[in-house]
Amino acid sequence: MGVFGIFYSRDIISVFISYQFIIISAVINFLNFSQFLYQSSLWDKIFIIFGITSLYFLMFCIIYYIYLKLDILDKEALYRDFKLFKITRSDWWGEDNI
Amino acid sequence: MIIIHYASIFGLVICGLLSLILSDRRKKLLFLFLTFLFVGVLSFVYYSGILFFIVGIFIMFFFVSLYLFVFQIEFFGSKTEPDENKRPNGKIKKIISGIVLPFLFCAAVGYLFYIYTSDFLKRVNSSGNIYIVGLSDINKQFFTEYSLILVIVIVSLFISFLWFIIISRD
Amino acid sequence: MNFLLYISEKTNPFQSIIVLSGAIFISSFFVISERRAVKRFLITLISISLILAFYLNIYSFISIGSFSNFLLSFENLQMIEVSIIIFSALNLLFFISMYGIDNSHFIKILSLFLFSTICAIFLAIARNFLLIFVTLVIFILVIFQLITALNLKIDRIRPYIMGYFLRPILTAILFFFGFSLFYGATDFKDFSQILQSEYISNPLIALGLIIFGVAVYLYFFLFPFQGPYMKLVKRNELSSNAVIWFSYFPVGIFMLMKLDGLYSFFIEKNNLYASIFLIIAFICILAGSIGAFKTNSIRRIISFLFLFFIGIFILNISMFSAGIITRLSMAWFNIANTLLMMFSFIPIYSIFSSIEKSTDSDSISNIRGFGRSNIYMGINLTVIFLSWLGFAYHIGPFIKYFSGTNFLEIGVINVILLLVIAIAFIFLLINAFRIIIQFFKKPLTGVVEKIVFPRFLYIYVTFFTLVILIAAIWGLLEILNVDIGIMNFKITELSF
Repeated sequence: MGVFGIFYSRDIISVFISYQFIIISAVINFLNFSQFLYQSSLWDKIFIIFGITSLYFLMFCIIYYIYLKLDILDKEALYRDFKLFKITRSDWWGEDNI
Repeated sequence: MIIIHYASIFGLVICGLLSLILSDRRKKLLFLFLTFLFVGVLSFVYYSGILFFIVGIFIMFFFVSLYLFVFQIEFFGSKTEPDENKRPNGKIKKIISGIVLPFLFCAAVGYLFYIYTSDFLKRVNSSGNIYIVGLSDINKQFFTEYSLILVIVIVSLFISFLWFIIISRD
Repeated sequence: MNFLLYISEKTNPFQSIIVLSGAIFISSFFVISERRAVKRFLITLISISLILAFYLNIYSFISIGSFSNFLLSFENLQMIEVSIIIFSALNLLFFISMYGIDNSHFIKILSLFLFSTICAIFLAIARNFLLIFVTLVIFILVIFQLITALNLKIDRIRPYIMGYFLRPILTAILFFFGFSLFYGATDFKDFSQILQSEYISNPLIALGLIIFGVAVYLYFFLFPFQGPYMKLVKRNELSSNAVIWFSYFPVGIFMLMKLDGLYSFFIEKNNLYASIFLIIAFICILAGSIGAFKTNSIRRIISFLFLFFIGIFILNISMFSAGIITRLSMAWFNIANTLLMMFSFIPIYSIFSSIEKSTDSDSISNIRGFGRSNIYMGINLTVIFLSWLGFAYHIGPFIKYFSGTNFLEIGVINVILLLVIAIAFIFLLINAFRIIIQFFKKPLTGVVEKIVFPRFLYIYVTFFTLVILIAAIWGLLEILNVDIGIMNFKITELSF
């Protein structure tokens, strides 16, 4: 579903939401495997704590940056029309005019 | 037990899809929060509710910043919505490129997952004994084996504090 | 003396890190200061600490030897990686202090930069999954902070920075997912254990590796996803480009080198994977070189050539899995490639960025006639560009391999590999000569005014040229079997 979200998404909030789904699915994986395969070892819990802490901190910093620094017009543009995988011709052929 | 398990997964999927597809920003965030709650329920199902509390603090920070960002757009942004629905030709094209292609891609990925994991998962049997992890166990291993990582994370928090000063002063 | 030995033994792999942390600690006292003298003092201090860290890293390894525990492993390869990281950090310090000294947050930026170096070192010596993951995420975070801090004054770049860094976040998240799959397959906690155990045939490992592959692919912005990278590089402030090229990319390469053992295991087993790898390498090389050829902007040329070199890293993995080179020489090839990248691109970028600063545009027509007006720099740069001829060492193993076997027994994949390498080599030379010809062309408007560089830039570039010349002469003498008898080891046969 997260992968679907990344391709489907047209605004930046959806991108973050779909990121969260990938994280959630990973967490479910960890917990499931830990319970059914390894009799609840501690390793997965520690991995989840550190991993989620650092990942969410990274995402928090980026959102904070957008919140604080971007112009309102840019934000609107991000909200309206934003695709993570947008391929334009100027990316590799010819010039990229500012 | 099983019922709660399946119910929470089902709720998670439904709320997640709704939060992705809905176009209204507030409803989107509402459903996102519901998804988050279902994850909490799920973590209790896996006997690790304590994990949810530790991690939840950080997730809350993230949510607060997301809400702030969205409401800033709501209040200060222009209210006009793009009129793309009036052009039927463009709409069909948009549906094809926006929904069908990703869906096909995800179906392919899911099929790949299924082939790769099915024969492995068949061999797995659930083990009977359940061991509930407490905070003290996590604590113990935290400070014996992973203290180095803890130090790195804390130092990164301090360094980010510098960054917060940099970007908020201009 | 015994006491000192005891301390150095206790702190073996951390000595360089401790020195750098000390530098952060000292500079944190001066965070608020904006005086120029303090800035100069801190630049000197940090460069001394980086040099000390570089020395200690090699010295402690030679005197005490390798080290490994639950979290870290510090061996030959890691020692070289750490040295490369510290060396490029030293050059980055040069770039940052050249272009950013007037920034009012300069000292904070320096501490951010030092911390990113420390994270990169940890990532290079990490062995445990958790440490690898956490340092990777924090490294991406610090690079993000560094680039935003360097670009603080430029308004229009901000959406592009964000567009760029959404990709590495996805990389980190995919790594998280991949590690969860690894955990499902086995409860081992590092890659080499998995490689030696019987769990490696588990399908979850293969799936996790595919996800890691996608993640690394996104991290490097390989073809056709290079859009945000190109856009950011085109608009960036000068020193933050250097941060992306000389810190972000090498760390990704070291990350790839942690994984390549597992990858090559799977490629050897399955022909399908091998052909996928070949196609990816081929596309990267082709797209990188054609893109560089089609554009007139110097920044874009350099960034495309970086993508080209990353394609070559993937090519190395497929060469290993085709059985042409051994595992050790694959690691050596990767390291040599990284060194080649560093030693050629750092001086090239230092000159081109100062040209760009004095002319205010990065068009290739600016360097037209550059070799005529600044003869010394022109010759230096030509030597540096010609160092890409050293790339030809990839063909050596093929000759060794082909001469032993019958012509009919050579597999199709090996021939294709040789073809790919030949094409890559030709394209690289075309790109290099395009720029060199621009140097010595007659300028359009008669006389080009001489661009005045700071004096230390001359020394800086000469250093790189000398290193390249020495390496080239050394290699040539070895190929021609001339024994000068200065040193015992040979560059062409160096291995771990």
